[in-house]
Amino acid sequence: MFLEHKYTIEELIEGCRKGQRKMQELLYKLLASKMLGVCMRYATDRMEAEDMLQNGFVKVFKKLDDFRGEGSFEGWVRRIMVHSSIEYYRKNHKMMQVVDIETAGEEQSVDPVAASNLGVQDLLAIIAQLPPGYKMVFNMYAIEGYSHKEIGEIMGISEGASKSQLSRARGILKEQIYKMEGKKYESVG
Amino acid sequence: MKASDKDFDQLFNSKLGDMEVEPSANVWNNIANELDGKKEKGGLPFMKIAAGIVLLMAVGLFFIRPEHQIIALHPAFKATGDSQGSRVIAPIQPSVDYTESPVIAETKPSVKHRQSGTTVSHAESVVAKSIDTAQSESRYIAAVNQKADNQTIDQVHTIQAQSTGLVPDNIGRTAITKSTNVLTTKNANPVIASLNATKPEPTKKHKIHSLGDLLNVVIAKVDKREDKLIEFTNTSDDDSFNVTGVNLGLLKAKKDK
Repeated sequence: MFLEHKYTIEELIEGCRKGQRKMQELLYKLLASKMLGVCMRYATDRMEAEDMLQNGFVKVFKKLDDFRGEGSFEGWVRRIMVHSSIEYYRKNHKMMQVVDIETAGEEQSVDPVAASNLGVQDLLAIIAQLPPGYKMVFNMYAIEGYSHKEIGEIMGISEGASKSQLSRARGILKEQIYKMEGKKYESVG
Repeated sequence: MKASDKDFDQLFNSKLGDMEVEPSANVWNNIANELDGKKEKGGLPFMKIAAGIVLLMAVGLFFIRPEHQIIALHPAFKATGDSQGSRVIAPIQPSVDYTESPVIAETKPSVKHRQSGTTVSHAESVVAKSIDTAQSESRYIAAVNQKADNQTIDQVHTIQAQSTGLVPDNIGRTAITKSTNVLTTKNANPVIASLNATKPEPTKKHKIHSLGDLLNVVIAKVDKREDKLIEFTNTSDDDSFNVTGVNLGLLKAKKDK
């Protein structure tokens, strides 16, 4: 679990609170790859994700005193990464697109078994194609497990808007998966 | 529908929820740099405000402080002046140098005269000139002592007599220097009063005018650091006791600029 077995996570946190650069680096190395995984889901590409990661970790070290030890530290850092990612979009994409995308009248039914054949990179690519607003909501709800109320607060939208964006996001994703699977079957067959 | 949605979400969650991607090496360096430079990057307006407040407080403290120092220094300075003669002489010495230098300047042309003309008669002329210089010097001192009373001028006159008496005995310059010594030592108190006009010697009448100067002197001694000096010279330029409050505001404005 620990990158360097000399320190426990509590010791690392304590060292970081004292502003010890070495401890900060160790804590970063402990969590960086996981947190970049989080940011990747919110970003359109890896560069953007690393920017989000950087901003997030700076925030982690600055706000470390706010961590009261309620829940896991990793969960706390993860939440900061999510916030950092959304903030990044606010700054760099100004208006988060909440443009209605014409979804197909019929929802595509996706075969869960077939969909599970899709690799991580495929799923990541599909999510990356989502309009930013949809992507945020879907990530937060489906993967982070936030409630619509929480999402609404973080994104500055209503609970209902969060719900509708989620369902639209699902619709787009299913469509994309259906297309992918179709292609796969085509290529196989 | 809802069940299928959950399954659908679960699909993504299981595949992407624990995804790990190794960041490139420069990310940590960027974070470290940002942590080092966060003051500049993060809170520029806040830091400006904070700096402004600190400056105001520093200025305020230094305005309050010298007033206390005046009260503290004033009697102490007087006490040393009255009781101990040695300390009084010490500050005079620069004044002696000051009076000597014009004397030398005036004697030197007289020497040139002696070289150009005949020797014997000019010895007297040197003496005469030395007397003149002594007189002019005493006049100079008298001029310096403009603010001094009539008594001091009387003293100067008596000393003139003494100095002229001394001059024929010795060669010009030594006599003059002696006379200057006599002058300065006898005139000790008025000389200090006049020559130390720039130094802190606050009379109650001059309090308003000398306050700016006092501040300059005190600050120059206490603080040789960057900003504070400049600020105080600014305030002294603006002068007047009442305006100090407004000066604080001006300072603030200047700082903002």
